[in-house]
Amino acid sequence: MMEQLLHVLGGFETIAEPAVFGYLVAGFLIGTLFAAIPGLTGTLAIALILPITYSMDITPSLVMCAAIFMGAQYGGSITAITVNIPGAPCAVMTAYEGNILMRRGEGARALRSAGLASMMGGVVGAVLLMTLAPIIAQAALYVQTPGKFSLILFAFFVIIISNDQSIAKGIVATLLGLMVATIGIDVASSKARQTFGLPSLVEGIDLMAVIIGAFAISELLVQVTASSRNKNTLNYNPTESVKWSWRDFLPRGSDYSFIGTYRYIKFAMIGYFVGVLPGAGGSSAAFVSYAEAKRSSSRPEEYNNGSVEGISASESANNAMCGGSLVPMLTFGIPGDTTSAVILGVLIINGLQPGPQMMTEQFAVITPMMAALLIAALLIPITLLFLGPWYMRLVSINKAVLFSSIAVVAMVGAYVSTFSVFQMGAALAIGVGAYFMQRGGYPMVSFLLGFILGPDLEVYMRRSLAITDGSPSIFFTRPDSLFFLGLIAVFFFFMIVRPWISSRRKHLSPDK
Amino acid sequence: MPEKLSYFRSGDWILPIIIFISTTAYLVEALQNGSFFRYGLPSAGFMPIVLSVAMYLSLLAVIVGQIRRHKVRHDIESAPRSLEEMHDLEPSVRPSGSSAYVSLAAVILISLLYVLLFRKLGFAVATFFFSLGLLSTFRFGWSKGFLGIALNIVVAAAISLFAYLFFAVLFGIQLPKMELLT
Repeated sequence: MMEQLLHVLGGFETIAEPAVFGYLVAGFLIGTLFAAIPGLTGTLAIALILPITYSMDITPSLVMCAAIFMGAQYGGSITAITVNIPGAPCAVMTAYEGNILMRRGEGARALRSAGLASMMGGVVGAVLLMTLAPIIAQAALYVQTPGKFSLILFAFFVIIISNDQSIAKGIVATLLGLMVATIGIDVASSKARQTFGLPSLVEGIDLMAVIIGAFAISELLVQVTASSRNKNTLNYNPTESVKWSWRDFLPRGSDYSFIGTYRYIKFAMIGYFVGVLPGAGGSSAAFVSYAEAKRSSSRPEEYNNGSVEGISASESANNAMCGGSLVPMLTFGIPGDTTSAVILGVLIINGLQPGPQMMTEQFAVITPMMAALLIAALLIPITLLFLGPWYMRLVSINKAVLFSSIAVVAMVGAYVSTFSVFQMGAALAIGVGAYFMQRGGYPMVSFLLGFILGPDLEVYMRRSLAITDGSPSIFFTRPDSLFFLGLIAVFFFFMIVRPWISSRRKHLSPDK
Repeated sequence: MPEKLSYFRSGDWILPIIIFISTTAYLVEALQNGSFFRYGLPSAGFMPIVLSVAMYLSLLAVIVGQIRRHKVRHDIESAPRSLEEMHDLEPSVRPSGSSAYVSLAAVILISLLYVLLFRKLGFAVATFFFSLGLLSTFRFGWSKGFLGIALNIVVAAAISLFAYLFFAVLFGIQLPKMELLT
């Protein structure tokens, strides 16, 4: 325990180096900017910097990713409050309450409260990550190969049922990811398979091409179809010109005491533990926290009418989610949301294999990232002070220039990962496929998870079966595997069977 | 069969059919991998075959779900309703109109050409034309006449320069030069 504490302190020491701190600040600003501009996301920002992590050390790469992650969770609140367009999905509840305050002339107060709550949530999430992740990693060491197989199945299951559009579409997206992952060399026998006679496919589809295609190129296609209907900018015309000075964004004690330490920590804890669940993400964290804040509020009349408490609940939770979603990713190699799935890609591409071994043997490599989460959270009110007065201008950025630049960075990024034009083409093909899948309601996070975890799923299954000469009974007799299969059964009952029974009852009730 | 007509007209079936065809090609390829089991253990072909079968079943579930949803929507739409209810039934936002599809096809085509000509033309020239094509697709500066054309050229050159500075100068990544020159 003492050793881990020293590693954590070492993490802070590492990010105090000027160059690493520079990456942290740059990452935070990029994350904030990307999330603040509707159409851009923190996931896209990390996907775009992925190619350049090849020519960077692992520490600044991870520090930058963590800072982007934190900045992006906060940045979504900016346009949510100022123009009622959530920059990120997790800021929907913030837009709901914040824009009412903005129209009432209290925009600076709403932004200040969002910043303060984001900082509190981010700090609590990062501290919980630093303290709980090593303990969970120790427990994860007891999970053997059959248990790892069942754990991945559990992750797939949770991600699939969290797709609110259609469970079947979630399964199709996951299976597509698994299928793409089987292209190339077989992980167990080193034999080329599913190559369709194309020598280029022997090397398989690169993770970089998948991430850039699924998140950058598909977004470009979404934007180009949208811009053919709309004008090139967001075309928001505020009814009154807003002029802010930096003094409007000075943190005030009254803002803090209005919510209080207990409620900040409560919202953050909700966000953190929702984040730990695979597939839940910032939107779920914000929504659950907002609902709880509203239920337990002493000022319920303010909700739906510009509630600062509602903004604080939503923002505190979605920033605390950052720390939570990194727990399953770092300890088991299973990401909690889309952004942490892309960060998992950064780790894999840079030769790290997330899991309990990494958390025990390479903990020092990870601690700067954890420390960066905390420091990035502290940067929120500072940047608000300096950049707040310019936030209204973010909506006037020209989309044509922005997305053309992103397209170039994405395509060249796909090339530089392997210096292969084939991977560029693969990224384009995946991007086109991802665009149509998104339009059809097929979740891309399921696809990505299938692609990333597919090889592990197959290896663990084949290794487990080798132990028992091909008998699948091993998955039902080993306690670790049984535990995760039991969790699948519990989740299946509570999230599918019970809602189905209650909907049937409602349907068949005589009142109907 | 009005509900079926509605389903087929909606185009929701197109993606499942494309995935079905791709899965069939994938399964045919998987069957070339040799036996299902080797020495009693799953071989390289096992996983792709299992995935293919699972995909067929999932696609069936998707199509059944979509047909049911269309039927429910059709039933609701046929029922008499108030103005508020009609408002609730507004379809989800999707790209509509031919211009959206033309723009989509144009971006895919421009990107494909960029991939094919990236090495032949080299980074600088290919990226310049790629940026120019994308800017045109976004109708950048179209309302400004000749000034708009000049603006497009300047911005495309600036994007190419930015990408060069970002990759080659800042991170020292070697980008391809024109093949004719090398």
